[in-house]
Amino acid sequence: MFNVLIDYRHLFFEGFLTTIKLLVLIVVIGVPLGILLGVIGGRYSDVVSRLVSSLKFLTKVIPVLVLLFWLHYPLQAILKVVIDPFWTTIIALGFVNLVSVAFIIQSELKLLPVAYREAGITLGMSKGQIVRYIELPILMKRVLPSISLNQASMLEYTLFASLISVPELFRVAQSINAMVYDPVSIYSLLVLFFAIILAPLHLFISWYKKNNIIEYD
Amino acid sequence: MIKVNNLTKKYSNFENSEEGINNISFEVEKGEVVSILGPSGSGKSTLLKLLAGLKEQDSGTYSFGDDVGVGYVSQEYTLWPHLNVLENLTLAPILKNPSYKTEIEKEASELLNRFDLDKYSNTYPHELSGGQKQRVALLRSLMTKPKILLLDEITSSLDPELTKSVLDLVRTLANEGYTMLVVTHHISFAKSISDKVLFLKKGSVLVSQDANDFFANQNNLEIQSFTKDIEHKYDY
Repeated sequence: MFNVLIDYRHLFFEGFLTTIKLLVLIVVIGVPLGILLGVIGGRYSDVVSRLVSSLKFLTKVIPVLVLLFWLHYPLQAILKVVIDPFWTTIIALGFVNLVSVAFIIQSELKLLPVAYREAGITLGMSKGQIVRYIELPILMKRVLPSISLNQASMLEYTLFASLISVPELFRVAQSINAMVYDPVSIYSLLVLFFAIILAPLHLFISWYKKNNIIEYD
Repeated sequence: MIKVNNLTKKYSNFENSEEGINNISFEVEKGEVVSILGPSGSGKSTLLKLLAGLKEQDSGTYSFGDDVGVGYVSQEYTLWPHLNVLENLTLAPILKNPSYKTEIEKEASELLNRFDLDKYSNTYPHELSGGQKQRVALLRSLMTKPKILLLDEITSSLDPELTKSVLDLVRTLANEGYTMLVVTHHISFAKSISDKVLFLKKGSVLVSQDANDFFANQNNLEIQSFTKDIEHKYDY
């Protein structure tokens, strides 16, 4: 199995690098912007809240693969533009990630009991202190497992990029298999790669949920 | 002392399920304990939230004289779930005086020790009973050294056994000279600690009376019926 890996290490490495680049960009776009949008929707604006809920509904009813294909072919044909498939993937998955993170944050903010904030006010804490020392730590403890799971799903979704010719790991594996025909070794390597990355993440999430989750009264 | 003058807060029915209050005026002398009684929706919680600074009045004024510190404990469980008991007590005072962290922690430990809660110092709120949570919340409010305590039905979600431990703590604090406004459904408790009673109805003061007179010589049939009903329902 490892002979293929050694012989085609450069190709595998490039595929691996593309997958990691995709994931990093999807996370970098989705998480901070999602948190920002979620905070606005959960705390400050009903319009944004409704928008986030509608977009979340949209991402539920349109499968990620269909969205990716729609952005790659019909939309670009309608707009008469050509966007690199790598960036089409970033836009599609970044959008799905952003909406999911925003929805998680927004929902949690709405669940956060007002009584915690009121207790802080009556004890003389400033708004900033209440956010920093009470609301944010509680919120982060509550949302970390869901947001982490979402990022794990994003890594899995990067596989769809192979279908629009992005040379990520799966696409590279297919190409190598077309050259040497050794599916057992090649796809076993893929299994190993995803297991090595995702297993610790899922184990951490399970451990975290068991030890850190905060239940409201 | 507490001086309330024509305090008014109105809610539209669509905005809030709580009832507002309408032109409420009263005074509470230093060290006095005043029980606020009245049916649901009479504005008791709204009045306390206004005085605690959690809501803004539409009109009217209130002042606390020289007593600057006000402590407030509500009927909801408000202990911060990510902090243990000691941290719940010390967070706000330490943020105010970071250089006195050791002294504040010592003071909190002594307070917990005094009320037999020191064994829970490192315990998180979800591991406490409802009565313990409310007692810790009360002690937390004492950490800011208030002279006035506003207690809003702090036993409403507790069973009778747990209720007793919380009311005993309130009774101890009343004996220590805190000025208190206490919203309660426990008539025997109100009888035992109150100097005065305010009875609210539909956001207004129906009766403001010396506690002994209120309970012993009550002529108002509506109040008689109310106290009889809730005495039967809530008292242990």
